[in-house]
Amino acid sequence: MDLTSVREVCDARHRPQWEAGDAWLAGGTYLFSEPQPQLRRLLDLGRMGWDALRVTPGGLEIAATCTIAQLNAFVPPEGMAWPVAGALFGPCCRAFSSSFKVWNTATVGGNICLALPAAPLVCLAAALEGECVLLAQNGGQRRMPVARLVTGAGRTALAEGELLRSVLLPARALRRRAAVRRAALRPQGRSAALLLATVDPGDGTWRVTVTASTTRPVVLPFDRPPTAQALRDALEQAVGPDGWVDDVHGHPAWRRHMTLLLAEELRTELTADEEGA
Amino acid sequence: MTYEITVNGRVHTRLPAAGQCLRTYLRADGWYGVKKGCDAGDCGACTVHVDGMPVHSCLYPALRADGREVTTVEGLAAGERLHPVQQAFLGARGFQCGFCTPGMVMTAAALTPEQSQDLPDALRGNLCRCTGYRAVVDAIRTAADHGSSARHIEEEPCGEAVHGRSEPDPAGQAVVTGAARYTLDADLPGVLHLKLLRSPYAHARITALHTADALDVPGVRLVLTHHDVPGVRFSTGMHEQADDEPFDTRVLDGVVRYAGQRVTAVVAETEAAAEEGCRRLRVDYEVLPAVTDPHAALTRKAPRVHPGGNVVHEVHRTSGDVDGVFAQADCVYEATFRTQRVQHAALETHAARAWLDEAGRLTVRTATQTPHLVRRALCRVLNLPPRQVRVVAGRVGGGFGGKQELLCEDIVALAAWRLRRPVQLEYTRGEEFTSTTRHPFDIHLTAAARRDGTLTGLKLRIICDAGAYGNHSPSVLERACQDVTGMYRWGAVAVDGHRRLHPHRAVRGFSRLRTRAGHFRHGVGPRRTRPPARYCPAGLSPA
Repeated sequence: MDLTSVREVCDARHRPQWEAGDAWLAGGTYLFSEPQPQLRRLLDLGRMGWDALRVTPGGLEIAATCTIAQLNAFVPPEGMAWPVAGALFGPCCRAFSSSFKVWNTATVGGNICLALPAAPLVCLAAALEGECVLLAQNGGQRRMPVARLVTGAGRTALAEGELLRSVLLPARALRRRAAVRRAALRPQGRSAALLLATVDPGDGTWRVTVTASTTRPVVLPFDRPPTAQALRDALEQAVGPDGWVDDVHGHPAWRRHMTLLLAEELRTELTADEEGA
Repeated sequence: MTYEITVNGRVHTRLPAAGQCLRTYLRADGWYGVKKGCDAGDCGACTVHVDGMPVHSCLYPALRADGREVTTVEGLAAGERLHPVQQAFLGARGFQCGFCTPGMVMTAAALTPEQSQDLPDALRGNLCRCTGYRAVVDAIRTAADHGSSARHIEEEPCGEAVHGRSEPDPAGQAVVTGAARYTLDADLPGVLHLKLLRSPYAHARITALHTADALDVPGVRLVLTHHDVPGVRFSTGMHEQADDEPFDTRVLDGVVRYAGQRVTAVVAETEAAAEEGCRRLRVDYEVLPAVTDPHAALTRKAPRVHPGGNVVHEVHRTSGDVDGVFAQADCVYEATFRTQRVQHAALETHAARAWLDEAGRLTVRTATQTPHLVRRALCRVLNLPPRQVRVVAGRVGGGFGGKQELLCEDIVALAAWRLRRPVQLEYTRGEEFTSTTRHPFDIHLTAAARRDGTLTGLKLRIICDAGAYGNHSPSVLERACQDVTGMYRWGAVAVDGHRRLHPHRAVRGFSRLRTRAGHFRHGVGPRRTRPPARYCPAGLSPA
């Protein structure tokens, strides 16, 4: 929809000074979907020219402006044994309740910074030990795990005017084996629970990540394959009685039930793989 | 700054507004095949291709289209030859109102073969409120496999036979090419835009209105308050029998009775100026006690919504010996059923335009199912003779009863009459949800039956939440209480219905479905209930 209070669109390449009433414009698919009467300027990231996806010796760098469609189409370069990309990227991109047409312009950075509980890329990045590169207004730079950037439903640790430049996924996380589970009230609906589990084939460590059913990402590392009881206990303790999301996309009791159920499914699947291997 | 985009081969250089989305930019330049449905990226009615990539143009910043090629549904056909997808929608009749069709066509034209295999997934960003999707899916499958597996497609008519075959929709060609003209699909030079400030309170008296700041906004031409409108009361529910409905509504009222009710109207050269004007209005309210629960509204202590009380209509009917049949029943079933507020969600939102024609006659083009009744109501509200008022409707983008309602026409007509200039009001999707919904019902049902399946008695106590105004309420309650008894043969029937005074609207089915749904939950189940109990002419129905 038209954002009628917006007076100016500034090219972010010229590093405009941040003012009250400013917003970063990436894909615009959230900004233009609701009235934003508080906004006066949009700082347009559309011409930054950042490489959407860059493979480095350390892993994968995803630019904040990488679109969901670009991430969905990513194929690891030959010789890179990154099973995670095949197992998780596609399902997480398709976990959007929105249309593939929206994925053409919606961005990874926008999804993470909006920080909705159902944001699938928060789940993906948190599960893969993603680290955010944040650019401050004064030119400074800091790094922060994605799991800590998102502090609550729609809340982040971003400072005023701070910009998410990219997310770095370390190669060690991309080499892990992975599985995904999702629950929603209808097949193409908004995620009510989204769970990713990864296992390191070398040292056997586990990592279970939960979003959508919880108000902030919950990441549970395990030194060895957890028992059903240990996984359940760890989840209940990490989320707490008030940590389950309560909105029209699912009752908190149902979300809790589905989360525990799906976590156990993931545990069984990855344990079976382990034993099979 | 220069700006240039190519739309369907034609170059446009007009610079968009800073926060403008591509949808409104394209429409302002006459590409009316680009529709506004939700304006939030969910319904897909505004789908266009930007450099070949399908996007929801309501979410696409217009400035970002600079230097790009845009294709709308108007540019899909190769001259006179329809695109295969358009041809398939025409053949399968993949539309009813057709408002979603341009977006459906543009989306389907961009699908890969893999995407066409999973249409529920591929079409998650396209809503159709009429067809139930079956005809849409038929059309897309036909296009995807070149018609080889098509079903529900009419063969070319053979011979002169006029019976026994379907006629194509006369508007079909226009619908699939984006040429069909809905309410706002026309250029109206000099049109002003009207925006409404709505009440944040469920019940309040307006004690003061401060309009000076709003009038100072550049482009604002008029602010209408309850002091500026006729005192006449009317019903927004449009019925042939005008006195079916209570006359309890004013164009603008000094007392607001639901959160979301109109408080003031701001008319300006642009929507942006009208919205800014609304933000600058200051209103002082004396907040009054409100009642939002229909049962509480029936108690003696409840705050009165209208001077006449909180009951807009009652139905009490009995036929047969109700007490007798219940005393002798083999089994008695008792349950309470509740239905919630529901919005029609027609893809085209409510909208109206008013202007004075060359002869000075007030002309209103509106999204309505009842233009003739709107005309009668406008004559009454504005105190004009019928020859002074003309009301027309374009193609209507879904109504479902929700456009049997005077929601925009009165205020745009008044503003146009005052300013002698064209004025338009287009509801946002948000306004649709706050100001038009179906009535919630509480249905307490007691049924008596004999062991052989004969239904001997029915007692109904129905409380209908009419909201703050009585529009449609008496007729909806009458239908609910009367027609419910027509499905099965009942020995004796007693019906008590109350409507408590958010206002609600007509919806297809007009209440019959709700009370009938209650029937299907009988302990015996429909399959066993029906044969001995189904209605026959001798069956009883209360007068």
